[in-house]
Amino acid sequence: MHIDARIPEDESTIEGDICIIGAGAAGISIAAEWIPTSCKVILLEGGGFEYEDRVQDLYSGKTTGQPYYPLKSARLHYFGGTTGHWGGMCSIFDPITFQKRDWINDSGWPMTQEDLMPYYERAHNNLDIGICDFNLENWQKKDPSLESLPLDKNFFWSKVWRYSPPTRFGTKYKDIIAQSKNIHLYTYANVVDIKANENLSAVQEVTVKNYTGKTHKITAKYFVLACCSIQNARILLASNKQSPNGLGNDHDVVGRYFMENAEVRTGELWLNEKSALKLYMLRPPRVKAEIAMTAKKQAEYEISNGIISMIPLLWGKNIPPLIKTWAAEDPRKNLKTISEAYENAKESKLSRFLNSKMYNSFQLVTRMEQIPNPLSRVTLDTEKDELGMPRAMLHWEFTSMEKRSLRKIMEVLGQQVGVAGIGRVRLQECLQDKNDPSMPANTSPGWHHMGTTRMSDDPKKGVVDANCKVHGIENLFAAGSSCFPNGGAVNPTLSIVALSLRLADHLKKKMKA
Amino acid sequence: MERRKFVIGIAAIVAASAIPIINYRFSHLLPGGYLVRPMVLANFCDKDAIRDIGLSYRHEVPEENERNKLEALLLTNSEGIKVDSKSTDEVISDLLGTKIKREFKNGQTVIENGWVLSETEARQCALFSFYD
Repeated sequence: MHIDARIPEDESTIEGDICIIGAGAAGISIAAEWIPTSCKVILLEGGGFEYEDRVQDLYSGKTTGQPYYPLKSARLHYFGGTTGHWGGMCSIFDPITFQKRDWINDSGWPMTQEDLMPYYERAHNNLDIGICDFNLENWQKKDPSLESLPLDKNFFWSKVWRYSPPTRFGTKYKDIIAQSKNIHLYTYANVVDIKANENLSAVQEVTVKNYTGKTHKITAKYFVLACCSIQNARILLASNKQSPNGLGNDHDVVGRYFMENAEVRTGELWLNEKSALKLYMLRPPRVKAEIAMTAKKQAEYEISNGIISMIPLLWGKNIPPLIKTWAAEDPRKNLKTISEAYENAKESKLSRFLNSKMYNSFQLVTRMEQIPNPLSRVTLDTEKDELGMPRAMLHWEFTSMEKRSLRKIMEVLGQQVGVAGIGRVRLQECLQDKNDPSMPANTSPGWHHMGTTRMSDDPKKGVVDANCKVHGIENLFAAGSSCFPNGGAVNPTLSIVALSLRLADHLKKKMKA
Repeated sequence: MERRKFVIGIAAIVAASAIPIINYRFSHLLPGGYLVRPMVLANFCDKDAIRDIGLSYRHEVPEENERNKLEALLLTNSEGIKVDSKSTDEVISDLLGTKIKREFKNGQTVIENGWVLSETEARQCALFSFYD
């Protein structure tokens, strides 16, 4: 059922079994797991069902460090969350993402890819992806024209991507949730405080507020923060009445280790013979692949992960970097600017006809894994939003490893293209000075917020444990990419949903017990 | 608008058909024979670009910044045996092709003006820059 939180009497108390804070991909996926059961789930959404600038403004905040998108437009604040405009690209994290890598500080998950695999399969239903198959050979058997580049498999492999339509959670789940008897969706219910018991070992209630000035209290057995990285950290840090550093922040980890996928134009691939590179160019609803360095070579070179996508150079040169086009505070305006930029960069019909979709030069774009860095973080500003919550401040910072990794991957790709005898690779100007450790100015984030309530068995290194429970607080959990200890080099939505389904299963067990 | 597209299209056809001619002219009129023709790179770069790569290499590897030295290095095979500079084009082309393959495999590459090249290719560019 749906309740508009602007309507109930001021200072109402709402009781439930589970309270989920945030109705995006993570929160909705967890809530939907309880349909139909006797469990009363309170699902809180700060906005309504459509974009409203006044609600969106609650996400505004300052950024420092590596240039970032305006925070107001980096996430969507209404039912369905940022799935309202995501692109739908899905892949699984590689096994190396989960492993402790000696050459990367604070790397490693307290679980393996194998542990998450059953949930990846289930997440395919939520995201309407189709069958869960990331084995390239299977796809090539179905369509032999999906040829991979003839690169040495000891160095590079072709990583499979699948496409969600993309599923808009707001559209797909609105009626399902609204018609459910046990899911109580409250819109216009922004959490402004979490209150714990006296010894801070359990959450007692959360306070929600909206711009009518009304506040309500929610009590539940379990609470799940599912507002994505920036807002999850913001809520915990701002819940500082009982603990000055914020809730769950005894070791000053909340907000730290903010990660993104840096998307950088890293080079050009020049082929001796024109090719369509069909496998690497495919668009929805089919499968496509990108070039990835093997885990063995990442270990040998002591670098982080990076995956390379390609577009014909003819187009790539004309598309401005996203960090330049996604500059407005209004996400709708940014979407329009980006679509126009792509439209203008497209090859003319005549040129496409002459080229027969075959090209000998391609722009290479690397999506880089950001390594865990405690200095890359979300903190609170002194400025407050309309509801009296301190605004979020983001400081996005890289180490020197990401730049070194970008350069190394391209250098080795250049060597392997030479070994294969298929052409040559040219590095982008920003990578040509090997002594420059800074990330290029046109590094574009992928809108992939990760970290800030990272997962670790050690409370000094992480905010949540392997079950996404906040250390030291028995009934508070975090869901989604804020829990990722390191983020890999793929878009996170599939992993967000998979990890959320795993958390839902864990909560089911706890409820039964 | 349609007329504009037509004119642009014709210009594109003319430009596209000129590329092989330029490349043909370039790869056949280079002075110095096969030694100064980085065959693969010449598919993608014009003379100026190849000269710039060569100048960059000479700057970065000053100990090889001599025409005779570069010629000697290019003509020496992997066993350290020098091939006669008066050998046929075929012999020199085979020698360079084998060396380039081996260098890519062994990671004996350099990055000049962004291009990932085998050492031999970079030396070919460097030698070319003396002639151009």
